[in-house]
Amino acid sequence: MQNKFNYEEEEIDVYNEFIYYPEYEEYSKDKSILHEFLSTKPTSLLIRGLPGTGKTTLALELLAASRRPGYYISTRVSLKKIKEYFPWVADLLKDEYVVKSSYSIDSNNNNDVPVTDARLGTSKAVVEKVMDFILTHKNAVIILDSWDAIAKETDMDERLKTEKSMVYMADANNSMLIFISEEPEHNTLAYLVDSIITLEMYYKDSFRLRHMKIDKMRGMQIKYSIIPYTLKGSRFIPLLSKDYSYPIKPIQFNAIKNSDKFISTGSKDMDTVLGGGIRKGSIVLIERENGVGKSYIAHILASLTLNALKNRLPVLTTPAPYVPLKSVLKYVKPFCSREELSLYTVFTKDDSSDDTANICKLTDDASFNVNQTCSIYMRNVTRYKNTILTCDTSLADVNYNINEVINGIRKVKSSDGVLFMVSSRDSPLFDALQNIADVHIRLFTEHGVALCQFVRPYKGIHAIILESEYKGYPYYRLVEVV
Amino acid sequence: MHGNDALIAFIGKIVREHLTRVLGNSTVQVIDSWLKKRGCKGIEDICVDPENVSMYLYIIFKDAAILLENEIARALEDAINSGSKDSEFIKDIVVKIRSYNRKKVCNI
Repeated sequence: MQNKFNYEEEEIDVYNEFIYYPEYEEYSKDKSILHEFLSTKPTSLLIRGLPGTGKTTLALELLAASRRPGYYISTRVSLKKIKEYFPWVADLLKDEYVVKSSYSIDSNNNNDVPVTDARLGTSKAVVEKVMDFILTHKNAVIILDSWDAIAKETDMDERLKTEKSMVYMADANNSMLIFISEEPEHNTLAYLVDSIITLEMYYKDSFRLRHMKIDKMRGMQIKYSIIPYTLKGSRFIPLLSKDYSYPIKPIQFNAIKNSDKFISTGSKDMDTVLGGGIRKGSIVLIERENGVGKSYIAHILASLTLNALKNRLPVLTTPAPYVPLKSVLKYVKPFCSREELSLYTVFTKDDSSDDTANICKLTDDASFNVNQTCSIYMRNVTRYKNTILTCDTSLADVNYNINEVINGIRKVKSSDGVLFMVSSRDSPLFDALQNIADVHIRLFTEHGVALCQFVRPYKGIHAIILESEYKGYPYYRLVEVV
Repeated sequence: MHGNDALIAFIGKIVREHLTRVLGNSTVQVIDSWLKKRGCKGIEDICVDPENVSMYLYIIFKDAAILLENEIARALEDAINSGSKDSEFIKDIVVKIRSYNRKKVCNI
């Protein structure tokens, strides 16, 4: 099955919970939504949404995942345009009117997906094509893209009867009809079809966000009714909520080498968005909106920390006051050596101890805490030059003196270190940090999905996908929301 | 009986009108041409070979064809009740449709 696509000139696996990938089965608690949906043997699906919402992409993904003989009837777009818009399908084109389908079960010549350009067709011609294909192929999947374009030329009574006939034919012959509609408000199919998916898009700070609403899905319990998605790489990638991810079998962190000018975040995707990593001497503000799970913060900080330790750079961490030492070390200790861990210092109020990392006690005196951190930081700088400092000030219970903090920031910048500050808007330090920060990343959630918006540099919105259980160490991927 | 073209045309018209009411004009035209490709004259052949036409409708609509044929039979019975045409000929067609229909129901 086709489950790879070119992303940023690099071929990566698409981890798509909407599409069922058997290779991930052992890690998946539930089968994918799509697999579950297709297992109910639906005979008709209505995909509706305004132009540009990704209806065709979703229909093609469904066809691909179904592994059934397919037929694509286009009333809006020529085959040439389909090739341009969906390169992952276009690569498989064999001739002008036939798409070679690598996802069909058959390996013989029966795995072609015929494409009919029905832009000048009539409803009769469409019914004829549908009936012919249904009767000559078992378990066919037929996409009518879009049915509206032709149906609106017929009167309402005729339209209803034609729709009913086609649905009955599909039902009688174990086939599936996918109706695509660009005019949701004028639709007559809603009562007739097994399933309805509505695609919607909206804007956040000039960036487009999308979600699909599962309005109806006969025979299936709908866990998530609204699912955000992205059309990155012309693929339909639903973004499902995931609050926790931890390696099943912990292995050593796979580090990314730092360059002369940049310190890697430990995430290839994050480095790419930031133009190569974090420039040395930078202040990074991670703005955390309410509702963002602590697992996402843990992954971002753990990747940065582990990558630095593996590159023999010291890391000083002040976790949020509510995070116990055990939780901090849980994301670091199993993924690096004891020697690397000796470069790791945790500032905490927690009374527990650990003999592998360096533990420094925090007090209720903010000045003491800042001075202690600065002093240890400078000691490390003298010895190792570049040092990473992370500090989570969200829900901080001490009153920091802004001048002392700025003094500390100055030391980090002048010593070519990196300061990662996690903060929420209600933190007293937030305004100052927002002005000082070289990099500003806002974390927020939409329908349970964690997203990060690159405010500075202005690089759009990305979904954060936690994949630690597959990788064996703290690992996240960013998928651009487009 | 087969030479009675006017009667066949009359029944064909009833059947076509009825199917059009249920399935729409486009679908009936498509079924008509599909039947022609398979050696039938069209839906009119329900007068000549009801079992054959029923079989084709069954191929297209499976169980849903049973209700469709029942409706066709009912429409023809209405024509008999109006008493304007050769009711014996029409009755014979209705019996064939219904008996074939029952066979399918028993097989389900």
